[in-house]
Amino acid sequence: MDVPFRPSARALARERPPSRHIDLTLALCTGGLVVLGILMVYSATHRSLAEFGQNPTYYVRKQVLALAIGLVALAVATFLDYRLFKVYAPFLYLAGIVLLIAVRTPLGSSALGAQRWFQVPGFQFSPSQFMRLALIVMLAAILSEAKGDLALGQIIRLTVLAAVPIALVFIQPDIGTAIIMAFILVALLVVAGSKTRYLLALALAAALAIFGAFQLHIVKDYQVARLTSFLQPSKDFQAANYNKRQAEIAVGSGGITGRGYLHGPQTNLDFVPQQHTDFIFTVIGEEFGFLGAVAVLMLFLLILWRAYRIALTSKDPFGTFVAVGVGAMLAIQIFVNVGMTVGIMPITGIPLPFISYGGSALIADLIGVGLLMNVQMRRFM
Amino acid sequence: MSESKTRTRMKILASLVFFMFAAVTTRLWFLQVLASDQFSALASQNQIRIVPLTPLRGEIFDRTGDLLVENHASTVVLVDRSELQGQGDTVLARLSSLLHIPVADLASRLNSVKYLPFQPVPVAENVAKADVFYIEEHHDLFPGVSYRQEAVQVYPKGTLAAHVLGYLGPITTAQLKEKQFSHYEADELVGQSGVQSSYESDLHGVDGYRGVQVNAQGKVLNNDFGGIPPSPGNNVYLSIDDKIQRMAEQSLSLGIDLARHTPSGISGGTLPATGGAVVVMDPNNGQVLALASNPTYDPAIFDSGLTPDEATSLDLNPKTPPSHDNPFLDRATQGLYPAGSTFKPFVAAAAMKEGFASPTGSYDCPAQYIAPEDVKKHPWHNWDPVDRGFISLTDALAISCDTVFYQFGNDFWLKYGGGNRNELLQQDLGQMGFGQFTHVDLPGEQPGKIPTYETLKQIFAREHKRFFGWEPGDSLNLSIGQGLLQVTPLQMAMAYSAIANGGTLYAPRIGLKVVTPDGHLVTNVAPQKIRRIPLPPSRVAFLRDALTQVTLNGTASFAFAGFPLERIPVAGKTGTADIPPRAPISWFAGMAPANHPKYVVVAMVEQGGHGATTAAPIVRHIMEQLFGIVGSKTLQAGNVVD
Repeated sequence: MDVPFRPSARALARERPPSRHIDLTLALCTGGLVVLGILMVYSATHRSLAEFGQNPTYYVRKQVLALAIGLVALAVATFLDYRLFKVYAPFLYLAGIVLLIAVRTPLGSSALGAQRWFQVPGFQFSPSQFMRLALIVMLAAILSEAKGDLALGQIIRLTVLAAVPIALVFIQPDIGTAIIMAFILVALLVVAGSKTRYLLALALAAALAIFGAFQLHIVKDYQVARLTSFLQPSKDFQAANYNKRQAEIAVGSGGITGRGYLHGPQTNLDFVPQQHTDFIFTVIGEEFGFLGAVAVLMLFLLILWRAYRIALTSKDPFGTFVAVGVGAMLAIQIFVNVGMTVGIMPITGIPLPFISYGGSALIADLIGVGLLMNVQMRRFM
Repeated sequence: MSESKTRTRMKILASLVFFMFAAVTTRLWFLQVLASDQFSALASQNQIRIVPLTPLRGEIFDRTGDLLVENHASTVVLVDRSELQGQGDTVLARLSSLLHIPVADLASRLNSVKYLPFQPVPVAENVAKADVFYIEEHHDLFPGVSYRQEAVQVYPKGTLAAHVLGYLGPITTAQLKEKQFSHYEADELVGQSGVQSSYESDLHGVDGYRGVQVNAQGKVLNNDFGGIPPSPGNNVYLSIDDKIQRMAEQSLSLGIDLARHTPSGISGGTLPATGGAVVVMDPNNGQVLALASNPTYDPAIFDSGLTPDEATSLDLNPKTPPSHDNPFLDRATQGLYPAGSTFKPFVAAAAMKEGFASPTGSYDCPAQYIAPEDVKKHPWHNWDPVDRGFISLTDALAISCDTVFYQFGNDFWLKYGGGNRNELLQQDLGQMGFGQFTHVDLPGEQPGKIPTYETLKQIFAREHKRFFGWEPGDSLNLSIGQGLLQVTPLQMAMAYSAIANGGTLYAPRIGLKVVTPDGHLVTNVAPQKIRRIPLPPSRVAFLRDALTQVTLNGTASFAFAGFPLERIPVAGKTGTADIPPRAPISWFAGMAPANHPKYVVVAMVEQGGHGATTAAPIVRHIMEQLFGIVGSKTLQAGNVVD
């Protein structure tokens, strides 16, 4: 009796084009969050724009434009085979370093006491946001070639590779992005397998470096004030603590169900500074309450869960490390951003992925999602 | 790299991320669920500024419904600091020359911390219409200057009843700490004396507020963000009758003028008559119909704070010595004086109670008296150097024989002596309301003093003198209302009212009723009986009858000559209280009609000479008007008798 040939599920999957394996959960969560982001940016800005006689959709329109570019970038990052990135990783890394240096020159423009952007028609291009991705790809490319636990020499080499862009963004100063990149490094080193004592030594070195940065006054006074006001809330009532206080009031006054979309008085009256960028979670907290805030956190957690699954199911180590890097990049942003909004983390300028106003960060995070999808849909190839 | 090792490390990383989310969620739970109410309150504070709204103050009427204190619209000029456009100095200079107010005054009001940055600040009240029109027409010269109508309290009858009505002034920092003023705003006007103060809680009304919504920059978004309108204060009707009050003030003033033209006899000049008081009371319920104190002041002077000159004129300027006889002092309730012979009816009452005197007894009235127990044998003289022989108690009162009362005083001292220390006289006088608060509904009342062993001891200790105890002379002095005795004219009116009504002490009442602005009764100020004086009604009636002799053929007969006593009998008593070396205090306390008194009238003039010289003519003049007697248009001096 002829036993009919029954191809395995895996073999069947391999025969379908990769686009058939798009991660729907990841796509839906990301889509939900970017739409929410547009709504939140409108809520955070329309009232004060109208106060100043501006078009209330000014920020929203710019953000929608960035979103469109970001979606295109996501598509590109999804459909180019991710293994290509492994090949071009050194070029991407070097390009990022060059841009970070160029932004320090008169080519870059500064605002709010920091020099971070290139002014391009329409919006500002911030190379540090893309450096995060280049760093992930670069570290993943090296780690994917490593065998067994990492040797000390390898760890030092990886650390130096990461330390260069970290130092460059740190002096911009953009402590937030420096923290993100440092966390990416640590997460990748952990997953690749590093001895605990090496990691401890690394932490010690980082602490010494940060101490040195303070001593050399590379860190601006306002940044020191923000950080120390977190550590010593009794030195209260000063401008440094105002942000934290107002954010807590906005979030706390939202209660369980919130004040309703566009009905948050703290938001509408501009009490929370930078509420469309770093403090946008206060708008969610005030207008949608505890339930809304937790729902948003759940969407983020779903994305991170997908990154975890994708890292585990990746066909090759490079895919695993890319997924871990992107997951770590998103996780640390979410934690530090929401953490500072609710007063359990110091105030550092880290935007909330997909939601905060800011084109470069949105595009970079969407490219990160594209990379995840890329690894996911090519897991059988 | 082994698959399972990677898996384990990934799990470590995932647990870390999970822990991060758990931490954030827990914090959200705390902020938004557990502590949400607190943060909601903070959020409201953030955006709402509270602007207090002062209620319309109640008005004050006399018993017949005539207005004594009324609300008038006043045009107030305000300056909005945020609209001065950097021209603050120029604008203030223009306002200063237009309104004739020094720039410094305007500037200090403009910089008051009482107002929020976005609130217009009132800088001038009672601004003339023409000035307001000028500002309107030249608005470009006065950026940020506006005006509005506000109620201010005015005293339509000028100085009439100034001491009764009292004045308004900004609440003091000390008052703000008191419980009564716990809900008051700084700088709010409150009654600082008189009825304005004692009926403050009725007159003030309930403060309201208006919410003003502001954004983080302090910009006003909504000027009417909820709030509670203020509810106006209640109106207060006084027992004062403005016509009687006017008579009392005029008669007192005429009497003082007269005294100032009367030879003093002591210094050779005329009597200084530095001030005086009159109280007219309904003896049947304690209602005060008139309460006059001279010199007086204009209560409206306090409207916008006192200038140094105004303070000097009221003897309230700490930098200048008092030189205006303290017009601010309410002599009727706060002035303390020895009572002189007007005190004798109460000493007689105590003597009758203790059995030292009786209506039927007869008592020696020599020209001088020496207390038998007095080791120094000090002679005590009658005011009249004639030996009158034995006379009745009625005559002793009518001619005010000091030596008869010295004997009563000595009787009391004997009770005191022998180690008994029975201060019977003091106790009986206390029962008649002396040395105690009358509990009149006016602030700042003085209780006066009946001297006792203890008070004497304290005074001697303070003056570092050797104290020999309560001596016969102390009792003798008290028996004729001299020495350390201190009474207020109001206490005298209250005690004489008890004689008039058969023995009941009524607490004097200034307030009659409190009504809402639309006329509904809130409270009726009921007469308040303090107690009966310790004397049976028949003895009280005897005293009243005895006192009618004073005007008929006693010390006040000259002062009341020509008064229709047969139709309207007047019972009364003169008093001349000595505080050497000054001219004596002139007293007269009277009641009429004596058979069923409707009015008790007490007059006192500081350094006004003898009771019959100044005070008795004042009382006569008031009674003539009270009873519509077409008598002397002017006040005539009495004679020089006690």
